[in-house]
Amino acid sequence: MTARLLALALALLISQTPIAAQPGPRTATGTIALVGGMLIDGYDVPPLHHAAVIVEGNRIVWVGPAADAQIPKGARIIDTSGRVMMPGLWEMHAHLDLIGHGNYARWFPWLREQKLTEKVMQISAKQFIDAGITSAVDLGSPLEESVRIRQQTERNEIVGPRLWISGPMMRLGRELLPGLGPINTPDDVARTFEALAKAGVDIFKMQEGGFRVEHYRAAVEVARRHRKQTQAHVYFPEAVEAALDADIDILQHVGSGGTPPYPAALMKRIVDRGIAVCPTAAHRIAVYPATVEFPERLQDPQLRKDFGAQIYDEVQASFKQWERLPYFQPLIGLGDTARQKFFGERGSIEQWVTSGAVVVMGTDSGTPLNFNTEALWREIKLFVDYGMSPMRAIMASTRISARAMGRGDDLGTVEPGKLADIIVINGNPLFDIQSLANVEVVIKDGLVLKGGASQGTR
Amino acid sequence: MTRAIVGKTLCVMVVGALVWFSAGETPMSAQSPRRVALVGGMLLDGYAVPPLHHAAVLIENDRIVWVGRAAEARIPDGTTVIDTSGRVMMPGLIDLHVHLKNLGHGDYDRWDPWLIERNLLPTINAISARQLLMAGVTSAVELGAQIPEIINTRDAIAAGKIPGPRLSVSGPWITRSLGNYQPRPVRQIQIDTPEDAARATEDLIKKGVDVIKAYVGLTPAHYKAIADTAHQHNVRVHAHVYSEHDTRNALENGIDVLTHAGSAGTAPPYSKQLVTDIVNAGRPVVVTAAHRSWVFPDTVAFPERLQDPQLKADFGPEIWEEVQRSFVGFQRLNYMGRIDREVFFREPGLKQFIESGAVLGMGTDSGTPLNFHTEALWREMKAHVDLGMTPLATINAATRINARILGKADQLGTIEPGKLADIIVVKGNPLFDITALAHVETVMKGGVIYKGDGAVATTPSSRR
Repeated sequence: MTARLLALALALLISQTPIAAQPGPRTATGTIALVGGMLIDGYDVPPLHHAAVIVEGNRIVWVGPAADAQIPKGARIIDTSGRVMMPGLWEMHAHLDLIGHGNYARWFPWLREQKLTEKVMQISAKQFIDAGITSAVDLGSPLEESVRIRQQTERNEIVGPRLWISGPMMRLGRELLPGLGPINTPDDVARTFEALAKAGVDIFKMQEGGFRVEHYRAAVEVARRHRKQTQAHVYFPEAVEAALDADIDILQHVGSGGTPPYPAALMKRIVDRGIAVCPTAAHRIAVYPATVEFPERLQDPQLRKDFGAQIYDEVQASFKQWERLPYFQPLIGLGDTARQKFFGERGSIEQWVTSGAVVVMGTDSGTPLNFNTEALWREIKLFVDYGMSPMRAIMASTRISARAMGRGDDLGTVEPGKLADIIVINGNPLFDIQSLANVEVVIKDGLVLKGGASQGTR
Repeated sequence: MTRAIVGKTLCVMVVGALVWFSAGETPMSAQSPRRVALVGGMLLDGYAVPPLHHAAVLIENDRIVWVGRAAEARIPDGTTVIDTSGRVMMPGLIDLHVHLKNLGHGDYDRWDPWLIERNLLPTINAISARQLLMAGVTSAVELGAQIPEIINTRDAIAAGKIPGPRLSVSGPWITRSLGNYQPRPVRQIQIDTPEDAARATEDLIKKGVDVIKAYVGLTPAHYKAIADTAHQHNVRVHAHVYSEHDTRNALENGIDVLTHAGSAGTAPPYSKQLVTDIVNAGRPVVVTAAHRSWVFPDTVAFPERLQDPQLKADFGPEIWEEVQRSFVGFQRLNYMGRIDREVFFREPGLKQFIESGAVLGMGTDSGTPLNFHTEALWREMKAHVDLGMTPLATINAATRINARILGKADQLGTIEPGKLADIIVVKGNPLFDITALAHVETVMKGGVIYKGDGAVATTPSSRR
């Protein structure tokens, strides 16, 4: 019995040692073969049954029927029989400095006071990996921490997805970087984004609320020069029009803010342009009712494990009377949960499903009650519930997202030559999209970051 | 950092080991009752009421003694507390139609001789029983098995020797024609006259079966003879019926449960009159809708389900390989010979009962080809939900209503003080997505935990 306990102890130790414990950057070296499961490769084709995927280093080198696979000697075999293999998921609207705490007015001062911002971002990064998210776009975390966390995940020093970061988002009339003054004119926009580009962000993010087309144009002009991306946080038709006029790259939040479905002419413009839209539909309108029905979700044991006692207790304290949280009770109509639900059910979500717009999946994850552990499957499920086929929803959160981020050539699908970002799911997501909640194996950049006990080598 | 993590890990392990030893190896004093509390999760109690949030259930020995809000629970010293925060507690599921000698193998004509040759019947019964229990099925009705083996399995489970659901068994079914089945294991009793049928019923009950199963093709006089005899002994009769004709005969001659009615596409939906008569009689219907009609298309879409690693772990290599062999070209299996028609009629067949307000029980025919014990019941329940039954009504059917159909409503089917402690804990909210029932984390039967934190050790039966 003692020997058995010891063996158990060792096994536990090995399995629980985080990669952070290993100093320095990590890169994938050996060969991994994922063998036996069904493959959804990210394209609009029927799944490949009983497939195999071979990964060498951080690249996929072969994909096909398991029966035809020539697995190199010494490869680590991961048996995926009875499971589904698919590309790692993309979260196109994340906030790593948020983890579902109910109240920003308490959360941010507390984070700063406890000096926990970077730690929280690391927790979020790991939660994303556990949820099968291998690529994430952070739209609003503090600048320095964002740059550091991106570097840590790039070098695989911490467990986390590939990250694209915007740093703090720009608002009219507010100072974004200390010393650069408040943003008022298009020149202010350009000057601030020049500084952000120098600081190393990937994305320029602007929040609506007075920005005119000239402001957006100034951002796009700087972005083109530095090969950065522009994303606009917009709800109202006029703001969407201005962002379109300026040729912004991605429209964030569109249709989810409690606005009625967009006018036909605007929808036609969006669809004709083929601009990527990331509606972030589920936060509030699906999360709130899910919590009414099942408040126990706020005490999911996974959260306790992920957060550690100090953060868990603070987060739990914010959930007392969560229905009264300001996040769900704003003074103006915009953002009101009931209003969002009203319009969501009357076409604000469906307009994206039925119009042929280029939809990508993002969740505003980490916002109140909207946990990083589950935000993405809730978003995807909402679209499926409103008529999007499971296959299209999966493509939106893989191949289409990768293309929207300009990385379609090396990410977003499971095919030879691409970077090895692959997840394995328990259950068939084409039959029940909620299977995406059951992520068993996560491989990012050729590194097995979750599950995937080796079934020996060949 | 590394050292801190190591320390923490060791600490967790030591505590874990202590719990393990105290649960498994410390003898309980005879005086103090064994007490368990399930605390924190949402409670579905089996009734048609909204769930109770942040609930607690207290168990003493094999009984539930208290149910209520966790904040108001008074947990006595010495109670083993299981944290169910973030989870859903609900009554153990009941499956009204299972076949333990089958594990989902594709072809009876191969399977039956194979297992008989190897003398595997008791082993396979035990594997099935364990699979059902681990899927959250704490009670099941076995409709069609050789005796005495199935009675032995039932009794071994009841005595706590092997893990499994509380079983009610029919032994062999009563039929006028033997049909297209292998002679062994012996699962049929052929009779001729109604008097034979009565005698067979009497004999089975004497041998210790709990229910009687009457097959298709019996006349009204046969059904009546069987039902009357069984009822004298307080035993209920399940009739295996498909056609309008058999269903009506069973309904009008005292049969207690109409099983299969409305499934398998052997007939278009029944006449309005028959459905109305069933509803008016309040006669329970167990459609067993999903086997074949849902299972086949789901396998076409995802053939990988046939290689679920859970099956491999449960079966052991010898059985696994034989079962896998039977899946080659599964679309050609004899069992699926009428699948086009079955899929065509699957929706109207089930909807006629959902939409008419019939008393619906839940049963699966689990173990039949491709229809694994590990998942048959959630598939059946999902089919009902997909066709318009609410998740709550479906859950209540598989718990409280099924217990009533079993005649054990005073003991089973709900979570309330006085009832037997058959409780499961699932991950996810089944009212939001019924497939949460595929994620059973904890199984308690009669106050004993068989799966999850604090579980008694149960090795897979295949490795006994």
